[in-house]
Amino acid sequence: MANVTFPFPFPANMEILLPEIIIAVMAMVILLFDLFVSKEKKQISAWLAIATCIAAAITTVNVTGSESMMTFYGFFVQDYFAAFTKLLMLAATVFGIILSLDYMKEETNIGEYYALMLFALLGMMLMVSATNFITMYLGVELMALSVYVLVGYQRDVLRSSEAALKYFILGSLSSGMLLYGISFLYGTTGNFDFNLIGEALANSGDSARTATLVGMLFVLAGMAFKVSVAPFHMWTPDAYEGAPTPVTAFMSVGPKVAGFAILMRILVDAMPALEHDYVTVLLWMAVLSLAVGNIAAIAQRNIKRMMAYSTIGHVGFVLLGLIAASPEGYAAILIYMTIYLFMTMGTFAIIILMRRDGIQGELLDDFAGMSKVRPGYALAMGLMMFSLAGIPFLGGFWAKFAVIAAVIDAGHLYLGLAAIMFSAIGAFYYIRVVKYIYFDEERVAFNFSDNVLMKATVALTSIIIVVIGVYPDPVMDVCRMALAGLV
Amino acid sequence: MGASYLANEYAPIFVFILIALGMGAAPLVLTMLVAEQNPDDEKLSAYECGFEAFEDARMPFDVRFYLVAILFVIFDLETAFLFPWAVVLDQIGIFGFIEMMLFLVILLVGYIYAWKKGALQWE
Repeated sequence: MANVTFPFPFPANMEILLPEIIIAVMAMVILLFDLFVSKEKKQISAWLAIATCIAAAITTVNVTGSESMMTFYGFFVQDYFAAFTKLLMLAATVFGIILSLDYMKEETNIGEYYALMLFALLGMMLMVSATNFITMYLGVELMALSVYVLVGYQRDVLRSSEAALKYFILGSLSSGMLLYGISFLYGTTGNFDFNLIGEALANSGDSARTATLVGMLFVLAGMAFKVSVAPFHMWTPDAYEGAPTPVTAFMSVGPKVAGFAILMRILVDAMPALEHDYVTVLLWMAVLSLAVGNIAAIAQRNIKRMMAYSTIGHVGFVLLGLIAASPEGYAAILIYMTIYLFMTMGTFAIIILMRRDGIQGELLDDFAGMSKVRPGYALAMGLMMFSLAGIPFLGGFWAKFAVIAAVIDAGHLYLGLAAIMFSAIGAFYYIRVVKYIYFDEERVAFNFSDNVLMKATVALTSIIIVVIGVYPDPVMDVCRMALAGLV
Repeated sequence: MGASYLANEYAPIFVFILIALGMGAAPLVLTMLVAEQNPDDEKLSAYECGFEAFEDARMPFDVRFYLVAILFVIFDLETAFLFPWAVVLDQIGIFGFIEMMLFLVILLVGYIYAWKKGALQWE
């Protein structure tokens, strides 16, 4: 962080903020647009939001150079790593908006909905570009506050409001823990900047070790809440079940990508001196997440709840990459996140298609006999489930392979074996869905809405999962390249 | 950074705590000594925006109270930001000026939104 002299000079390299500026301005434009147009035209805000994301994606690619660039006196960084994770989040948002098109049609104030999605996206993009705890916290809160409202968007539906309230209360608690931890780290190092904290910790030896560890623990716990790592996962099933399904899809990818990206930055830049300590903590978190996610999911009859536990299990796998604490591990996290994005969006697209004539279509029973009516969707759902389970030669297999290989390389053989074991347990509940689709009799009439964009989403995500499964090298190469800014 | 450093850094805060305690205690002590005492049950009962002080907590509560309060917080904070900004405006230059204008424009968007949604009307 450069020393700032008065009067403030204009920050250099402000152009790297362009994607964020586009999103911020367009979110406000959509908010106002919704107020001034007639009811029939409100759906336009969805298309404006999609156009915004595409424009932001193009500018993100354009402003990113091979050198990492800073602006706002070193408070904001743009490098390959930030750009890559931003593209993932932009893709998650575009998918989220497409999934919302039909689902949210009957809701009033639809412009607010898309504006909130863009604000959440802005928060996430700010997070992954943070170089210090202040910028990071700003992004975390902008994201979290927007997502709380999105979860409770159907405010006349009781379970939606309940989910939002639970999520809000636990989320605020976690923000408090995060801030408390940051204050400890500031106390022992006198800095908010990740790199300067890293230097201070490396040079301080064992002085103030207890306070530093307390700070590290609280920061990890606060972030673990946000990415629903056990034992901080309690809000996840309720929030996932109560939220409108497109929001569930959005929040199971976007905030996770942002959370893990910033965790990587914190651990790599600020805490290399504490590697032994944070690995010990993350190790138990990973084992717990794997166990809770994969075992509790078996008991779920509601597929959104099942996907919530599935997320907990998957973040357990992602944690393995952090535990490996090596470039391979971090690359594996990016690979995992990329593949997870497509698997999740495809799955939720099909879940949304199940909603019909007053049936939510969220129970496992609702999927019974789908293969006879719509073999295409049934095949796609089958692919998604096999991929999530990690069956070889689908995308999900390479995601799991990469993290487990990295963690075994780093010397945690037993953890790798435990992950493989839990993956095998988890395969049961994914494959059970396939059993319902292919081997059970149809119980309720299917009546799929045939939105062409939804069809395209299902087709695109299925194809990507298969292509990555057969030929994963290009994705892996891109992910390794994206690490250039980080390590 | 020894004990003396801490003492020097935090001495003003200690003084501040003492003054705050004094400011809090003074009215209570002074009224006991100086003012005319005329005790009454009603004077001791809690007062809260025209609600009965003791009744079922699960009663419908007009959400407009909350709306007004939250709008007040937003625009009150705006003032809280504007004041220090105005004091140092000559030092922070044109960049600081533009920053604050952006902040005000963003708040203005919120204001238009609240207005158009009817959050400012009591009826």
